Amino acid sequence: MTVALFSTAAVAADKLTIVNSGSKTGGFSMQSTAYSTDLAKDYDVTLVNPGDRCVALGSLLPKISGPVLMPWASDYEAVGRDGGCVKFDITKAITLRYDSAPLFVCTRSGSIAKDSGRVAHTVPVDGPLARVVAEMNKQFGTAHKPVVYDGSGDARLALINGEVDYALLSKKHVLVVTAADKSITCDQSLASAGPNSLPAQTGNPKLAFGWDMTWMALNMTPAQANRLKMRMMEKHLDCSTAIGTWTKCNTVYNTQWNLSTDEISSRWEPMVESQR
Amino acid sequence: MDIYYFVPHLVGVGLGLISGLIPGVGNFVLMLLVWPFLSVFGIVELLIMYASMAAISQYIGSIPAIVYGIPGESSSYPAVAESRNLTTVQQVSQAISGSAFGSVVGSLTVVGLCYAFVEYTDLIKYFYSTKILVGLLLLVTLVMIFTVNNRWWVNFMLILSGIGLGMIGYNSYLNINFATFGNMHLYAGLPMPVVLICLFAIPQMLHHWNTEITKSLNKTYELGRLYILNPVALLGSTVIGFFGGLIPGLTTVFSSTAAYNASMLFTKDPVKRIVVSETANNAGAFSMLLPLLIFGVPLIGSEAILLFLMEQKGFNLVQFKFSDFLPELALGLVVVNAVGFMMAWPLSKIVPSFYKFDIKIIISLLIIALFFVTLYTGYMNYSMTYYLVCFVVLAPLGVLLRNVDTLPLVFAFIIHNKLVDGLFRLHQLS
Repeated sequence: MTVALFSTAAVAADKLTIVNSGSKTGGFSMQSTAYSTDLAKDYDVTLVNPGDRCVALGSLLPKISGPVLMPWASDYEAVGRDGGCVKFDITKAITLRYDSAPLFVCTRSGSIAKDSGRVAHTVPVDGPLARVVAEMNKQFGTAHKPVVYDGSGDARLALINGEVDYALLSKKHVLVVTAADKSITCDQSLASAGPNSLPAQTGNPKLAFGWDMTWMALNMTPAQANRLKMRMMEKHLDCSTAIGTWTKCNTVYNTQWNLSTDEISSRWEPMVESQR
Repeated sequence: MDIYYFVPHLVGVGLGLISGLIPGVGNFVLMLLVWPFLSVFGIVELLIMYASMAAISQYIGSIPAIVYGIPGESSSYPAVAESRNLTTVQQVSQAISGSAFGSVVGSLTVVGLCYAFVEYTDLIKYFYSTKILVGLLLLVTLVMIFTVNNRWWVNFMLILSGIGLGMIGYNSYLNINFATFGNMHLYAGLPMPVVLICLFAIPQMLHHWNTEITKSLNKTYELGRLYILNPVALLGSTVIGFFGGLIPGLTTVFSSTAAYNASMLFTKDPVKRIVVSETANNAGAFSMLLPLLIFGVPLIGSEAILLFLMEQKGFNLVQFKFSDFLPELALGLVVVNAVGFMMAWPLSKIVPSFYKFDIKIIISLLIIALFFVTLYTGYMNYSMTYYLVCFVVLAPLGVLLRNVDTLPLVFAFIIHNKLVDGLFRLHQLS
């Protein structure tokens, strides 16, 4: 259920609406909530959390005329461009934060480049990660079976109980699964350590091993956006804040704050296209 | 127990009271609303607060379910469905006291067993097999077809209808739209509170419209007698409730429904059926915490928030083991269950006063209240008009279904995602 959260009573505080474009239990939701806590001292914050990107962008966003902070992900955009309910042109907004989240392959044993098995990935069934598995089979000559799970938590459990042989997980989940089961190891070698999550090692542009994400300012002047970015950076630098805690002191993503419009396009577009 | 844990207990009990009494306002919403205040709690305090809230909401939820036929808490649907068969004051009294006692037994048995076998709790990972989860969902659905108080083909049609209504919207798992007609609101599906109010609560209440409940219940009220179900039934429902609580997204709803269905195979006594389902959901209210604390996996939205808050306080699976939390948590739950029992049973003293009013007036007021709950939840979702339209469309259907037990429809609506996705995943795994 969507909840308009709390707002500060600070006199003359700028209004800020944070619109979560992701699910209610995923990373975007948790980060949106964290920002709504951390920024409440500086802004009159309203959190809009419908838990569904079709509703968030298709129905709610057009109704909000004031300043908005909203996350968006390359795989969402890829699905949208392929006929999904919503897509968003990020060049029409001011990007404040740009993240790359490389994917890890977690397993108890075996090499995903050699040993075929069941590979757990997150939704949708025909989405970017399902195509990654298909692309791996082409690249490595393997016969992996993709198995789709509703979220990373379910995928983690499937690996822990042996239902699957591999799970494709981001670093946030890697830290949990390796702590929960010492026999599980995770490998980042297929993902890029470069400016976005496109693979450097395989050289196959269709083997996008991760996501890119942006946090954008909408309905703001450049000065307003810059002020918000400064506040956000300040909160990220403090590991005791809500967002600092969630990002494990900025270790779970490759976060960049000062990319130019051209740099953003040169990373975002290939990433989105590779995930279509 | 540390005296400082008094406050989280108190907060949890207060939130559980609200969650249990008001339909559509669950633990997820309450957690978000009190978020700023929760930052003062440490890891153990947060956990105690959440466990208290979850337990108390189960205790309290049974009261409006039994007395008014309103599912204050979403796991009380079986009690709502069966409450129509309670025809005497004694039965109402027995259902309330029996549920309160069964809840204590269910909750404390699970806590006790976890305490005794803490070294083996890791074994629940094997429960998270797609085969087991889908098998359980199919089994409960199948049993429901032959046990709920309608003809079997009516139950079957209700289940199909529930799945059909649930399918409306965008399915992020299969990446397909179903009956959205390009409407952005429909992409999110039919709003669950509205469906449950219109197709379950309203028909259940209207079923009582012409009953002479005022006269029939105007009897001596026996608060002094505590109804205790036989130990085998209590234990059986506790076991079912425990495993039901482990099912992602359904947890206590599955616990109570599965136990209720099982009870239908053994008894026609509405009191026993209600007690069994209420025992099970309290057992599930604790077991649903196990995957979170052992594997860091939240099963429902409110647990995801709890995990996040705990992580803010430094919780991680490397440093913190389930066994570290258990002593404080178990002791806290003993206290909370005692409080829940007191609230759920002595509160029934005021039950007769409800019946001093004309049942038609009570039902009318409740339906008006539920209409405002619909508007409120719509407002909270920035979709008040959409919720209103859904209410206007679905409420007449609910009126038409007033002589039908719509539990299969509601259950199918709630589980449709898990069932459809699970069946597809079984196909992938084969």
